[in-house]
Amino acid sequence: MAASLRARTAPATVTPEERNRVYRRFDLVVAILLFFLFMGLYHVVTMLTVGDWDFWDDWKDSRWWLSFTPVAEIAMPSAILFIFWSRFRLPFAATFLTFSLVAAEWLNRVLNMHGWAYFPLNFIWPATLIPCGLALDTTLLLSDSILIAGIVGGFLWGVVFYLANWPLIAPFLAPVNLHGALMSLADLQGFHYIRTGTPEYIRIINRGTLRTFGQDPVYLSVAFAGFMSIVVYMVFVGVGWLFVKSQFSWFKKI
Amino acid sequence: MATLLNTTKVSDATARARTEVQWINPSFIAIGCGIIAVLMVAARLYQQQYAWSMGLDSTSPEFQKYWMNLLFSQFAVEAVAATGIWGYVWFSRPRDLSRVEATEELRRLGVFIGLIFLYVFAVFWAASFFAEEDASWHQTVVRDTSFTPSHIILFYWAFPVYIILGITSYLYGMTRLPRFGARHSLPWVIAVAGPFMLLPVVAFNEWAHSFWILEERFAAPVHWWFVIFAWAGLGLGGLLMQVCDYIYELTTGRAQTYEGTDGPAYDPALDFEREAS
Amino acid sequence: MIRSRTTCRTAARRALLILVCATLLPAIAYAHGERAQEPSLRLSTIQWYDTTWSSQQVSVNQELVVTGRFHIMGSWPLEIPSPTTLTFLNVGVPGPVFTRAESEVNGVNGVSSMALQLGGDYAYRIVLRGRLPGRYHVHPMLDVLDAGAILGPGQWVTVVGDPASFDDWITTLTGRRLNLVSYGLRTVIGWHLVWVALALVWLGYWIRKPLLMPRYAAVQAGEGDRLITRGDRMMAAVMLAATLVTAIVAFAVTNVANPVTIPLQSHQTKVPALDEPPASVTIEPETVTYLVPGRTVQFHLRVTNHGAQPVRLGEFTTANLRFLNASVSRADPDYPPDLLAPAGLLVQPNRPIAASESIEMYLEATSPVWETDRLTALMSDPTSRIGGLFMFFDPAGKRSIVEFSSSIVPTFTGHLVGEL
Repeated sequence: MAASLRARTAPATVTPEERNRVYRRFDLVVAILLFFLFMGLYHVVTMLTVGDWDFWDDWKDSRWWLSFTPVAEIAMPSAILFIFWSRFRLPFAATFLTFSLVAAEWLNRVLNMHGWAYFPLNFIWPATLIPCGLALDTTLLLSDSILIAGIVGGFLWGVVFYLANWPLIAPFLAPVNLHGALMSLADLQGFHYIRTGTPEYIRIINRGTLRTFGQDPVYLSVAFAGFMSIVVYMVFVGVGWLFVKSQFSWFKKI
Repeated sequence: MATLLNTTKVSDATARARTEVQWINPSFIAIGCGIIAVLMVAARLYQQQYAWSMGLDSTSPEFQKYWMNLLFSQFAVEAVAATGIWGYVWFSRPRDLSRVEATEELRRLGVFIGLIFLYVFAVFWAASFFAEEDASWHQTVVRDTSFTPSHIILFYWAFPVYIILGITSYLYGMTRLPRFGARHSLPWVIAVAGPFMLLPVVAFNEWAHSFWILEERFAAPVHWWFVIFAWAGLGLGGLLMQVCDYIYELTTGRAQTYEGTDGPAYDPALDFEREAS
Repeated sequence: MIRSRTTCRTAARRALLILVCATLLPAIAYAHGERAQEPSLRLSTIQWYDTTWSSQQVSVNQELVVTGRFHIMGSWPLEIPSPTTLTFLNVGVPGPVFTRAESEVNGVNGVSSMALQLGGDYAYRIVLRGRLPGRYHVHPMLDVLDAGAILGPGQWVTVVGDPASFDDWITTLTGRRLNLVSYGLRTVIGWHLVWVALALVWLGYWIRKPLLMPRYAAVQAGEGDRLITRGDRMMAAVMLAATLVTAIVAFAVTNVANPVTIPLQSHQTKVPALDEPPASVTIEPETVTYLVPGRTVQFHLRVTNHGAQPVRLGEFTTANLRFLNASVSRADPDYPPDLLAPAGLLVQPNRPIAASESIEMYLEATSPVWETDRLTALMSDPTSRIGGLFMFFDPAGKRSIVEFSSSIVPTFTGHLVGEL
């Protein structure tokens, strides 16, 4: 047991009660700090990778949105999950991140996209990743294994995204006829609410290919999302491992 | 001489009065966050008032008056604030970090954590609030300048605010806490330098948008540099564990050990003590 | 160079007019981003003409119709991505202060992104509805893939009324009538709240316990596995079951409530140009210069009339600016005055060109807007080119539109015809 080599006359806290008060205040301050940190970091990586699909109804398609969103979004939770599980045995990172993300997105949609740019809220609502986070965290705790959480929880992350967000988008996929053009309500919203910087062709959505097997690419997208989420999880758990290892990196000069 | 940030006392513990342990001060955090919130909300209200009415045409005299003047004012305020705050932290530093009582060190660690809280709060405003607001502007209007009403607030107000606070926190730790004064913590350096690097990435992006990236998607590879440097914020995870080791030592009087996680035999953060002894 | 026979009085009037335009009138064309674009591109890509706005004031929910035509220059700059890939007819307004009810280009539904032809003319119609009260500059515009937006002329339109009264009633193909303004929002918020509640339960479960230091110390001491209790596992199992059950039930309920859904629709199509007869007039540029102090473009052209009727030059238009030969052509009184050059178009000789005749013509297009709109920032532009449309009229009023493109060189010395 290595004692502190400096000449300390006494530790800063003497009684267990004092110590627990210090620890508890640390808990609460860090919990709130993490909320703002996760809002900042997770939101910025989200908006710059899958943001367009999340901003607008008429981007939420069955090919890109359903697959790309969960695959891109599992990266940061995987890394942070590793940090909190390996050093604190806390299985809440994925839920905390996805909860913070939803809070940050709604704040922005209401105050900025709606409050500043005047888009209706039913056109700019964010998707939810909270059920994906819950599935990942609970699988981790039940399996007590980073690997099994990745395989089972990672797959669930990709699949549950579709299950949980279908209720949100489905009402906007009702068909309408606009002067001879078949459109969904989401397409119609995109046409009605003028976006000078975002013409129709800029949408990265399923436009059909000669090779789409079967009618509906949804199931392909969901399966891809599930399996690719596992891969991304494994890679970014490694990133988390690197940040954990950095705990012992101190340099005399930078 | 005792100041708010610098109270160096080496006192006899047996004679020490039993007062409440000085730790993270919620009032300090609340007041700091309040000031940051006022700065950011004021910016947001200014945008609400003048962006659509005066900010659509960068060649108009109104734009020069309401937006370019704001930009230059921001630069001036930031230069003065950075010089003032960093200068204060630096010049008021204690000259001797070798004999700091544990209670004082814990108090300073609490200030350090409070400053990091303010840094993170400012990062939220920049990276979350004003960043997505930028999408609502650029996907709605025709871009005609790098200094749009959303960019002037996002890149040239919110970003510098968190950079100033991040470096302030770093300087405070370096000058008040023996561990951070003796060595540079890699994850902490990453957590400060990474988000700072978003500013050079802005320059690259504006160059790209002026010349070849003419569509206003957010999902574009040119933006991925922002993502990479945002990831640097995870350095705070490594710092969290270093702070836990620090708190453990200060509250128990013993250095942290790592048998349970197959870590090193001793905490390398205490290398400076070994070298001193 | 053709010398003027204008009298001193006419010359003085012209000089005074230029002075007035340059100093007293605001001489700005209200812009929404297009001024920052390179002038040689704005002058040489798309020419908008015959633009009309049905009204300058509408109420909330009331329609505003914008019609007109645009010509895609056959001499489209090779360094700019071409509209033969994809374009989209859009509207230049500050956000969704109007909604777009319908639009069309040459009869093709404007919901489509369109591949267009170089050298082609397209007639468009956009129907907007007022949504938010205010005064807005309304432009038609064309987005071109990888090139950006090219704005047409803008007109101030005021929207009056109560914004809360805006509605957007739609009937779906299944016969359901709904107001798109708020449709579906309750469902979205409701499901979000369900998931937020579950998240708060899970997070609250952990945050209520000692969170960091005791757990960290236990893990470092090798006691980490004892931190996970049976109660924690039960809670996790319950939360996992609740998550999966909620998601599956929500999915099933949604399918019952929305039995008919379609995927997002993609509309991309080629649109042929208007089938216009070829112009009966050809123009060859001899020299085109911009006299900087006089804010005047000077054209020396050879104009040949290949038609059977005599024609007169009525108008030159470029980048939304219109230079009218007052003796031939007049603008609609409601047309935005800031886009009409007060000095008009000086034409010499200002007479009909007979059938089969070929003459040299000298033109002056003077306007301070050349400068204020940055259309002649030639010193900083890597290309010096001017384009536009010349409009000739026969005695019956039949119009012949001729595309024009030429290099242009600035000059700092020289005289205007009006000064002599």
